[in-house]
Amino acid sequence: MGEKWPGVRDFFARCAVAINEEIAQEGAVVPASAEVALLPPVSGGAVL
Amino acid sequence: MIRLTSDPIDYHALTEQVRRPNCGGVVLFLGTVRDLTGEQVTVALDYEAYAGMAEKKLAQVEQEARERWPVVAEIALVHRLGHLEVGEVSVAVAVSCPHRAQAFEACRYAIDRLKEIVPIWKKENWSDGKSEWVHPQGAE
Repeated sequence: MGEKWPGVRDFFARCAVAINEEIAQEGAVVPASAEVALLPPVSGGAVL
Repeated sequence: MIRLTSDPIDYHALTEQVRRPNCGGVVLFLGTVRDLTGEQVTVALDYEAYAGMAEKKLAQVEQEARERWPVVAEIALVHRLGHLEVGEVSVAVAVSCPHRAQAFEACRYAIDRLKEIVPIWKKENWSDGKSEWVHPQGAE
């Protein structure tokens, strides 16, 4: 997505990705009808 | 017990909720809205959650604390959402155990872990009228 929309590349790089409300690792497969969320770093300071 | 709420947190009731006759130690942690961050004056914070996942992760924190300290009798984790003024309670963790050492340890673990894995964000509202979502330093 960062290549398609360079303006948000830095922001995406800081985000974790959740699939169906669980943190996904690099290369994870998104099941059909899954809910995908981009999560910026939480206020507590750590990466999810 | 875990909860997200937009209402003020009744931490006295929460503390009573975890008290048990076999527990000689009860620890309550309150996170409150601080008026200064560095040299910037905060007038209010806005909290938002990815609610479904936040509730799951709060439950995970409770589960982890119970696994690490099986003597924990009760643990309550409550996080408030919405607009909070300086001094208001944004988060409360109450833990009861037979003895105080494990109650302190489990409470410390639970609040640290909550801040680490529960998807809740806050926006600082500064005294100069500006506002900004908090972006932790060092997070990649």
